Amino acid sequence: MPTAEYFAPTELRDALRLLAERGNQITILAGGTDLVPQFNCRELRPHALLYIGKLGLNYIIAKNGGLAVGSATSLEEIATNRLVFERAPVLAQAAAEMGNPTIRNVATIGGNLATASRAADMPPPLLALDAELSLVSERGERVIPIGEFFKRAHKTVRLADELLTEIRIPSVKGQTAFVRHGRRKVFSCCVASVAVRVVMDGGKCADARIVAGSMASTPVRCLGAEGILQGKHLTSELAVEAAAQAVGECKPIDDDRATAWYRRRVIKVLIERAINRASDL
Amino acid sequence: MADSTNGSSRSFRVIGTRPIRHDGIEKVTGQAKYGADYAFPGMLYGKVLRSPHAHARIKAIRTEQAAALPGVQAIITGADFPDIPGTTAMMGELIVNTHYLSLNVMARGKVLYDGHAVAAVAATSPHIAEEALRLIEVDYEPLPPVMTAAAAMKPDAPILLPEIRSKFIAGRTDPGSPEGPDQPTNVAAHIQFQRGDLAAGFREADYVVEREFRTATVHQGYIEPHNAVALYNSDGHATIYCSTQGTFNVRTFTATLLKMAEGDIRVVPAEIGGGFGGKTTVYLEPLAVLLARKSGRPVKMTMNRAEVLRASGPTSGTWIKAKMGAARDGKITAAQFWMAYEAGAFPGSPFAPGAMCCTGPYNIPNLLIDSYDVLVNRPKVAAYRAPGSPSSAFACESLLDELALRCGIDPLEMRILNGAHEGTPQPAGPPYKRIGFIETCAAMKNSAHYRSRLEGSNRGRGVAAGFWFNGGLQSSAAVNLHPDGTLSVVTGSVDIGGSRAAMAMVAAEVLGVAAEDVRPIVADTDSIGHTDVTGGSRITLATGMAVYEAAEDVVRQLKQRAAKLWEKKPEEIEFSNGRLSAIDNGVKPLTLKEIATRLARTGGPISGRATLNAGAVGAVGNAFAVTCVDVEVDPDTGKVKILRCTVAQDVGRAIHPAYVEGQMQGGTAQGIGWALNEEYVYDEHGILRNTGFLDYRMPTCLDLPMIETIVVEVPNPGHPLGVRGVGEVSIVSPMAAVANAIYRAVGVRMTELPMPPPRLLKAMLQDQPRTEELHPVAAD
Repeated sequence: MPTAEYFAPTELRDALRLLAERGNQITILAGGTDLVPQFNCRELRPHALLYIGKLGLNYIIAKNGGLAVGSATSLEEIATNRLVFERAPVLAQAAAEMGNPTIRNVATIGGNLATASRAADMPPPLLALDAELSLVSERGERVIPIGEFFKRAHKTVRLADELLTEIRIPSVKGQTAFVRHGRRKVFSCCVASVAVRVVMDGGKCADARIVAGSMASTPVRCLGAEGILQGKHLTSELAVEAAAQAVGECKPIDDDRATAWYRRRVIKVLIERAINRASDL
Repeated sequence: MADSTNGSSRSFRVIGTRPIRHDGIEKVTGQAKYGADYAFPGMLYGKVLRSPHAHARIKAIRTEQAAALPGVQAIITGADFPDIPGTTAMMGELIVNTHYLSLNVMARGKVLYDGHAVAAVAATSPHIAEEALRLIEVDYEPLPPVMTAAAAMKPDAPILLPEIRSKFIAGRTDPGSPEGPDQPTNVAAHIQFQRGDLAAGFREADYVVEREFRTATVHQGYIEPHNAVALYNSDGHATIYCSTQGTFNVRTFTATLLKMAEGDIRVVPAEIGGGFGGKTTVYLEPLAVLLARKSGRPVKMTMNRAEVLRASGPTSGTWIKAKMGAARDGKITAAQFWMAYEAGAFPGSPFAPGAMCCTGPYNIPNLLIDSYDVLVNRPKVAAYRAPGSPSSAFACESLLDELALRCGIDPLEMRILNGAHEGTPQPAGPPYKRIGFIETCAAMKNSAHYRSRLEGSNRGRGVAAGFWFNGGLQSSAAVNLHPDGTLSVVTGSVDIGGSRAAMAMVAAEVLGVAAEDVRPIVADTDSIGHTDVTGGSRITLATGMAVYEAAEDVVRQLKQRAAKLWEKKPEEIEFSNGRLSAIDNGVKPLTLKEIATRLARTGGPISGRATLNAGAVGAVGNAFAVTCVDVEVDPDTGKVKILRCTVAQDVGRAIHPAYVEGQMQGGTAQGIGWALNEEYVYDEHGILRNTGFLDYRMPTCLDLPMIETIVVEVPNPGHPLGVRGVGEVSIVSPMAAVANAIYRAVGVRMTELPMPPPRLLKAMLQDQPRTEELHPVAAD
């Protein structure tokens, strides 16, 4: 009978020690909503599990006008926390629409990022907010923009000895919107989603973020579409133009939830709606 | 929220009230025992090795390595099962061939679908059992899979079961035609109903519509997976604890498949977490008994969700070609249906009930229905709520909607105009007895929902009707009077939809006591007379009839006791409202409670009993329902929002109206899921892709509005209380109602189920020309 070793340290240094010594053999376990079903179905047979739920990484604190969120914070916490609601409402909304209450109660923001699923719900709003990630190891800390974190589906730049400990959301200007299309109202994987942030200055768009989810192997920041908005008065016609541009920047696939054809059609609509909503059109 | 119409004037004390269900507290506090809750000392855990191929020959199975794993106590394969000759048995509404049932629970020679059982292991822990499965080596020779009826019916299609020959099909089902050629086929059976002169009927029509429909394989989606705990004693007796809709079926099938005597098996019903027809057969029970016999220890087996979806019994995907004609005045002149029902790997789809229900709500003078039972490399289908009827109704009700539009007639008016009533021949021939279809349509037409105006773009209102013939079948009941004047009602009918409350209420009504004074018990197979499945919407009807008669038997005995006490003849005693009195009023009346204390002195305990056969399937209490649904279609994404939904149904008599409404709402919710999102998705190798509830998408409560109900009561003359079966018919009409609403919202006629956003969007972009002006559906 194969068995797995199980570690549940209470000190960060013990966790980092384990990762430094045996990072390649270790599967990091947080909420387990993705991993545990795979263990149960024998799809994944871990040698050793490192549970990070006892490391004190469950927190949301105000920092430099923005937020610092521990990687083991549950999505339910994020969806209902007052600070998040005030400083990063787009993140709260995306968290609230993810899964269902039983999943949100255990799923963590760090797990949602580190799993790097194509359909993950946290990356688009975090990219739209210019979030940064703190990766910690015995070698020290490195902080990277979230846009550099994802390499491809289920693959990130995290090294075997590193632990994603904190998500930092700077104080950013602008109005935001998140629009998601799933096959049900709740408990559905994302077919396509978009997070938008527009910064208005004197009636014109000074800066914009348009980030599409489930539209490629990583979240897609639609720079071309952002450029279309830049420096212009936002109108619904401009939103249509930007959305059309954004579709060209996505590389969706066919899967069990939707075809690439459908994703392209839908993301265009979602981006239009998100721009209109963020700019109160 | 419920409207009630057409209630007869007969008055009741208990029937029609809404007492708290007797099993409610146990269930909401988590104390009720479901199949997987049973445990016994020394119990082992059984797991099933399942085929990774849709169609393959089994060349060899080697179990030695698995057997050597510490903790493994028994392993079984197809070689452990006796050969069972092909005999057919009625299983509720569907016919079962026990030879194929045996091959379905454990493959021999060939695997015929992804998930087909090939071996099972019992071990001291579930984990050891799962590890042992990995050590079993099976050599397969993959064969080409046949995944749809259309593919299976091609002349050169790979053959699933070589013993199925075309000449039997022609000979058995179409007696007029010459015997067909003798060659292998995937078409296992054919049924045909015809009436009138089809060609003449279509010549009379001013409008003829013809379309091809497809519906996907869908699963019942019960929350509790299949389970069984088996004990095999050294005296050769077996006891099975399981979640099933039919304990007596489990006993018969397990005995037959293992060549045991029926009397050597006792089946104890656990609470059941849903079934909807899917738990009327056996999967794990024979395996658990065999593993228990081989290991000498109790064995528990439970499926996980992926096993349930891959290897239990969903209902058929279908392929239907249909044509219907109507005169300008809206009278249907002719209809023709050609239908292929996918049976899965073994014969036995609901192709016959589908044909029997197809045009059931209507009087169509010229009619031809052909329906085929087609083998495909998918799991063998089981019953699912009104099996067969939803698919044929989807076709029939879609065409009828088109004809109503062409004729410029209100869709409910169109249905009333052509509606079946007492004396109208059913599609299968026999005339209806008293039915309430017209009353149901009229109730919907007068409803607040239908009379309301639906405004806004991309919004539409659709209606559709459904028919289900309902089951009668065999039931037994015992009513025991306790010394304190309370009673117990014992039946063999598993309570899947609140039937305990209904049984207690029927007995309470007859005996003049409160529903709370009657304790309803579901007994095991050794403790009550034979009782057929909880299926066919038959429990409140047929088992309720047995309870009614058993309660009357108690009344008879009470009168004898009173006669003895009062030195009168039993005919001189009257019983009403729970009181015994003499016709001549010469004595002080006795209540039930009072006489209950005197049983020992007057002849001993009183126990009433009744056994009956309430009649063949369809012989008693046919049911009709009408669904009205308002939708809004997102023109950019194809997403359908259900704005409002109302179901009207003729229930005969509502014993417990809350549970009747619950059945109507439940069937409607399942129907909407079937309409919009649910389907089995297979890859090109015939492997099921969506093996969990994340991607097998049933609607959640947030996806549906509160479903409004209209309870119509046209009493069933064949039942002492007027009851009709209510469990199934509400699932028949929602699919067509939603499709019709979508058409009226965006002008796109959807002919394939489900209608998820991508498929609807694609259809909307294909610029379908409208052939007629939309007729406003609001009545006033």
